[in-house]
Amino acid sequence: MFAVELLVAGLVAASAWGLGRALLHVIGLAPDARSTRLVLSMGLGFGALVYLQMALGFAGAFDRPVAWGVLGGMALVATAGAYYRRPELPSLNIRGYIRALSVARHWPYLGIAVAIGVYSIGYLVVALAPTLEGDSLAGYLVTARDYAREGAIVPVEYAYNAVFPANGQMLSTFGYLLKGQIVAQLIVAWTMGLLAAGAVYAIGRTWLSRRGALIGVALWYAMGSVAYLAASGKIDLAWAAFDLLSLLAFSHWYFAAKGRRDWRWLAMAGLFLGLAGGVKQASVFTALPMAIGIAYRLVSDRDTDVRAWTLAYVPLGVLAVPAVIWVIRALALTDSPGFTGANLNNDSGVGGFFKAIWDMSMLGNATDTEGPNGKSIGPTMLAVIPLALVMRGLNRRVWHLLTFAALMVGIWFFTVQRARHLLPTLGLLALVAGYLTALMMERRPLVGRVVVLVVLAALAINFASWGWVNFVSLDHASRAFNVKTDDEHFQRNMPKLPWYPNAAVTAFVRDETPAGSVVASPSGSNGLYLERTLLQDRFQSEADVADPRQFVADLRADGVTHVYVNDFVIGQRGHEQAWLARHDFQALYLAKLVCEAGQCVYELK
Amino acid sequence: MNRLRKLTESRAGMAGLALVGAWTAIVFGFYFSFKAREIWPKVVEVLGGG
Repeated sequence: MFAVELLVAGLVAASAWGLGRALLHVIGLAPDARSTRLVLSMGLGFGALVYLQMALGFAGAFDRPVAWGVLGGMALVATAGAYYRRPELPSLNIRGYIRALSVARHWPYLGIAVAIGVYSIGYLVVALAPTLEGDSLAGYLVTARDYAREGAIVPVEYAYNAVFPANGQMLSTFGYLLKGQIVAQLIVAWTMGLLAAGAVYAIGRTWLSRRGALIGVALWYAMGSVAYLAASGKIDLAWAAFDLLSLLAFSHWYFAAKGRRDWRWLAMAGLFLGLAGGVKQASVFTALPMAIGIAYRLVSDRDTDVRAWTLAYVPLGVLAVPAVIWVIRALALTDSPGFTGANLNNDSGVGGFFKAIWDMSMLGNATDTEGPNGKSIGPTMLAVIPLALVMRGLNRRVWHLLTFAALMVGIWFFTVQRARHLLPTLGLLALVAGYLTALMMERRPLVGRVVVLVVLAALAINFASWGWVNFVSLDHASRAFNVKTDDEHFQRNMPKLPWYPNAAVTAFVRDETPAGSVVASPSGSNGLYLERTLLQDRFQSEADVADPRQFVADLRADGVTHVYVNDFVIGQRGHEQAWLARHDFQALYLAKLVCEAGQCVYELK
Repeated sequence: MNRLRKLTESRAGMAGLALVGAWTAIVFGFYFSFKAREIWPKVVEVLGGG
């Protein structure tokens, strides 16, 4: 039942919040804004959970009773914390709000708030159905599920992200351990998306303006790139949440007056940076500008005291160190420190920089591989931010935020030009765009309202595109509300996703092959729902292994029992000459078990 | 002199605002046209029954 999954995920979030409240109290930092306290508490709670999971995983103690014990412990701390220090809940004076509200006057902000609500509900419904997102089925959920299944953080070599940092999977593994895939998705995608949006709001509300922050949150939370991730089991939203929390903590040090800068904010920034860097190495885009920002602040203060410099860099650096664990693991398992993005197609040069930003703001900057409805960031930031050049009396922090974002975008451009690797920076840019829009509403209400109307139209059209894919074409809602079973969901949708094992192949491999079977395939991937080890790199041809008997011996040595052949993928990848794709090889060494729509499963004779 | 400077500043400000306003309109215009081209086949599919 989806209600049970929702309840479990809600319990996890509430317990993380309660645990984080206690930790924030122990740390002794008390930011003024309630929204800041809320998101920092949530972040600390989830951060503690990630590190606890990491310790349990490396100790080989992933187990359902242990996971429930961890959740129980967190809930206990949260309850005790609430008993000793009552949580400050927002005053729900609904009648007062309604009385003070005038649709004629407040419709732009009402519209923005409704847009955030609609997107959030949309993301929730999609997260309640098993995802059909490619990377999740080929890697991110495969590793999390196998960690839970094996009871430890083991090398899941057949997943493409086997050696990537796995702090994000610590959260999804927790979901798998507690209940299963849906709880994993709810925690790693939906909850983390909300936490990231909350962090964006807290930064904007604290340093720019409350109304600007609301618009900024809408721009960030409703961008195509975030919407895509919300329908997946990927870890990018968890990364964005921790990275943005790091920026939030850092901003409290950076924007504080001289003499009032508290090193504990930098320690907290380091803690969140370590958590984020352990989810995704792209946190280096944040770490470098932070290091520059610290130097700028201390130099502009003419602070040459070694103690001040030490107290700035050391807490940040030391608490970020745990992220390195995953790099060491990657080096231990392979010769590479992890994903470098070296083989991705990127734009280059000054024109290329503008093209990357332009394409990303339109339909997405990798439409050739990602297709329409891809990962656009929307047009508003590109359209509105130049207003800063001609508007007077701006909050000076805008220029600090823009400089910070420019540094991050610069590093991003020379490494991995994908919107999802820029999510925290986009949070800052969305806030600046939101602030400028809100300022325009104050100074030139007519122009401001036109801008908000256009922004709302862009958000509505983006939701229409995303909603078409997820609610009409893939119909996730029927599965989310148990109108359909998993198999019916796959039968309906897999014909539209020819890269994936189809429903017949999925059901056969999952139900008819012995547990522990190993399936080899010439490039057939995305096999999460096969529930078996899927070796997708078996596309060797006669040019690679001259003797087919040797090739079969190699398969047996790797424990292969079955073979999965997907004609569409073979055609796309140009693997027609692979031994496993050749009919003469199949006739000699394989026994056909099931075949449907150009996909077959064989048993190795 | 002061008036002239104010006038120049005001003109420059207006020109800047017009330029940035045009840029904003261009960006949103392109976005909506791209989106329309992306969505139109689906509209035809639904409303056209095919």
